[in-house]
Amino acid sequence: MSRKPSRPERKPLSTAAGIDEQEGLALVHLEKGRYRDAMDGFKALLKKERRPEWLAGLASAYAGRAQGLAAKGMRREAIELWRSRTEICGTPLWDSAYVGWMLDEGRFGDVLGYLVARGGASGDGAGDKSDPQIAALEAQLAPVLLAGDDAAFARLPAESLLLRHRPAAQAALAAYAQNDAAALGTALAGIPYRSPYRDLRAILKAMVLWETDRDAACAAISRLPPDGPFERLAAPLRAVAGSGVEWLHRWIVLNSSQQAIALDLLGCPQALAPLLRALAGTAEDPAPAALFDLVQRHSRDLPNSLATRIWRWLAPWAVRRGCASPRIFGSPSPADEECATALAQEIAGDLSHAETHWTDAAELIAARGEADDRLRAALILRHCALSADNLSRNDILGDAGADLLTKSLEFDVYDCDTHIHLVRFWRRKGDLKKSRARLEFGLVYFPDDVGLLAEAVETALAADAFKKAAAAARRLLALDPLNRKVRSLVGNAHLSHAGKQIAAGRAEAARKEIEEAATWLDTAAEQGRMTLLQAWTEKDGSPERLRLAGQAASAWGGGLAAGWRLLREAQGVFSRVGDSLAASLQQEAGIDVAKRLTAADILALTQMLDGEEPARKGASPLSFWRKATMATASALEHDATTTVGICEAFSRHGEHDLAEKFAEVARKRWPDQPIFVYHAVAARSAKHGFIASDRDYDDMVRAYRQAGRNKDLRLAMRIDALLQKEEPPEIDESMAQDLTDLPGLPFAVPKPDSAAVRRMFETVIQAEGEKSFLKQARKNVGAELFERIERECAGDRAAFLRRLIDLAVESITAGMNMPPFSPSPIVTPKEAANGQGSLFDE
Amino acid sequence: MSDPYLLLGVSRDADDAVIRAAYLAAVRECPPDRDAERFARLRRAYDAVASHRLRLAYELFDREPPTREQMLRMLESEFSPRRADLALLRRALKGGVDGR
Repeated sequence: MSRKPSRPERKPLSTAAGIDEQEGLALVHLEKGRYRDAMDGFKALLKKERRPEWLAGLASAYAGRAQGLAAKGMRREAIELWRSRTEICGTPLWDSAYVGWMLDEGRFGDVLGYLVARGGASGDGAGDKSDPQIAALEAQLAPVLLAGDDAAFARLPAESLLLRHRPAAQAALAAYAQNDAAALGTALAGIPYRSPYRDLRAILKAMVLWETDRDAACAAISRLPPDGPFERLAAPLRAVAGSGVEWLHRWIVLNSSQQAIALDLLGCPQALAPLLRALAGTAEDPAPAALFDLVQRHSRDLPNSLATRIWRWLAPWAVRRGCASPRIFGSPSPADEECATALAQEIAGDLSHAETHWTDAAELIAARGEADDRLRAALILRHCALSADNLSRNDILGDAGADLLTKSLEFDVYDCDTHIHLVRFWRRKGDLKKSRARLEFGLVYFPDDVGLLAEAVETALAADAFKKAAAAARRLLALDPLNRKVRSLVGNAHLSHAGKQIAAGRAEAARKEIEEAATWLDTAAEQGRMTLLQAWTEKDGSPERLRLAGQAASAWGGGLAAGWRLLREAQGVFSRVGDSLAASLQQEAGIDVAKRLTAADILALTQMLDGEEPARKGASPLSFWRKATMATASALEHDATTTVGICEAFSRHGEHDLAEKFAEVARKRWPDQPIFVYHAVAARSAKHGFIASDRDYDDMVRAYRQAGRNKDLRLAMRIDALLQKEEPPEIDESMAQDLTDLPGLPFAVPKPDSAAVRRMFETVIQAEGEKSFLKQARKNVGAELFERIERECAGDRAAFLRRLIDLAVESITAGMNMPPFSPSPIVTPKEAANGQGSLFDE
Repeated sequence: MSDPYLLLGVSRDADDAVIRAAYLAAVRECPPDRDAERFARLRRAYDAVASHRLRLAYELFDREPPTREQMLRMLESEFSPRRADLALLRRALKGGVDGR
């Protein structure tokens, strides 16, 4: 047999160096596992002198080489090498490794012959005197003889343990296979500890334990040495004991019988073995589409229900293969197909199409009678309602989202968040009646939900129903005593009313309100507000008024921040806060209006602005301080991060002059920071309504690029939004209509032709499918008319589409536009009626 | 690993009690002060599948790319353990040419 690949030519050791060096080199080869070189080295040395240590070295090299060959499956070569080792080195032939190779090669007869020749076999009477080598040999033979036929035993002496314990071992094996616990117990009891079959006992016990307590079974099997004689039976259990893909890696290296046993232990149908082999052969993280292809190739082996489940799971990730050809494997229902397509669209980022498929899926799912289907439909509708498509930039629910949420409650009412969303939605729309109706409906199912009770408080306050608000707040605080938001809501509502009483000159009623507010409010800022209103119930110039006003200003930290807060309160109470009133109010609060502002003042003001909502109307409380604030901007003493915060705060509160001033100074100081360019231009643009100069526009474009280079996505998006606003307005239909009606145009602008419009719709439907058209049509014509037409068409899809297209064409050619924008009505708080004893007196 | 079932070590048909027990056991094994990141992952996993309603939502809207391990778990959900027959056991014991 030729050696492959051929070894490089080496210099003969005898000429390479002296004996000591040769010995050292041979030992190094041996240590490094270069057995062939070690063998050559020791052979060369032995030619010179037959030293025992060199003979032992050669034996070790032979052993290493033989084991290496056996590990590669070259057992015959290993056996021959082992024999050479015995001949040359005089080592014993019948080592356990040699016996193992012989048995694996099917040469039981030779092994048995050796055993018999060695003096038969150990018997019960042999006791401690038995040869351990013979016992090891018997143990190695035991599994083979257990599975072999009776003829193989003819040569064994009758007293051999192999022979005597064989019936018990066979019975144990059969009892395990037949799931006969009693017979198994009896059979295992017949295998004593000294028996060559003793490992079988432990393995069968672990395999039985596997069915009830996997951890205990794993622990039991791990106690057995992995090179034991019954390892062939233990290996499947060791393989499946691994977690995750670990068992797959261990399973794949087993032989076919062991793989089959492992699958039985797992309970995996044998038909799935090819799929498991394919899975074991894939990369660590195969692409979803590759996984889909792999399963598809073996889909015939999968039970139909499992195939469908896997299809549902994988199809959204293999759009071309999965959603486009739904019957590729399994039998997904139309609802499954819609769900998979919707999820695929969502993964692709096409939320609009995803919603169309989701809503179709919800309808199909709701129509099924299976348990949980109504809940699934509701979950889908909620998912759509709260998707980015149906929420504004501030996460406020839109009309379409509210419709979806309302519909979802038809399928499942046990979702408190949905009730909260709808209560909030109608309150924000100003429809307090619907908000209350939603609230009452929600409270039926969630009477003790803190979130819903908080909405009850807010809705009641929006309707000036103070008693109801207080009752709901008390109920909420009983459940959640630390709920600061509700305390603040109710307390501040009392203070707002106190302000109105002060404005109306009813000091006593205002005090009563303030007292009531005091039971709810406890933060320093709120205490400040309370104290200030209390001051304003006192007579002008009275010491008590001055004391209380000063106390309020102190609670707000004094200085600019306190001045801003005070003037903000004054705007809510007094009808007109001119410069003289502003000055006197600040003076009586001890705020020095002539004081030069410092960086700390601006910082305190920014913190105050961050915690407050921008004023909706009236002059800015900062107008009084604007000049002094501008002066601090010129000598900017803040770092870049703080300055960004200052610009943000001023910008949020509509202080565009201040924002611009700070941003311009910062822009010069930190020219590499595009955020200041943005703030400067955004402030100017807010003042003029557009980007007034080409220079600003170019600066913004440069800032956009720089933000992109800095990977500041948020800033890039903000700049982009600002630039988008600068796009020239699109000519809408009404403008086109006006153009066509102009008498003196030098050219004729054609009026919309109904046939052309119809063609346009038909092309769009053909290109994008019916779904988006139907969705838009439902929105335009209203659900009622849409459903009426659908009923009238009685399933005739083409007629249904034709009718809808007719309506759409008619609306366009008749010059119908979007209905005029009607802002949601703002609910203004009711004025306290004359003679109203308490604000709780509704 | 982002599959909450894999992270909590429960099967996909596990109920609320099993999932909660698995979560608590995992937290006991790895409290937040020992490995805050792992605890956060466990918490997210638990929050994703803690109730029947959440599990249905997870099944419908899960957008994590599928993995080989999840695939195995899915196959395993259909397994029902049984015992190998005697012939197979004897064949494995006998080893032979492909035996190890």
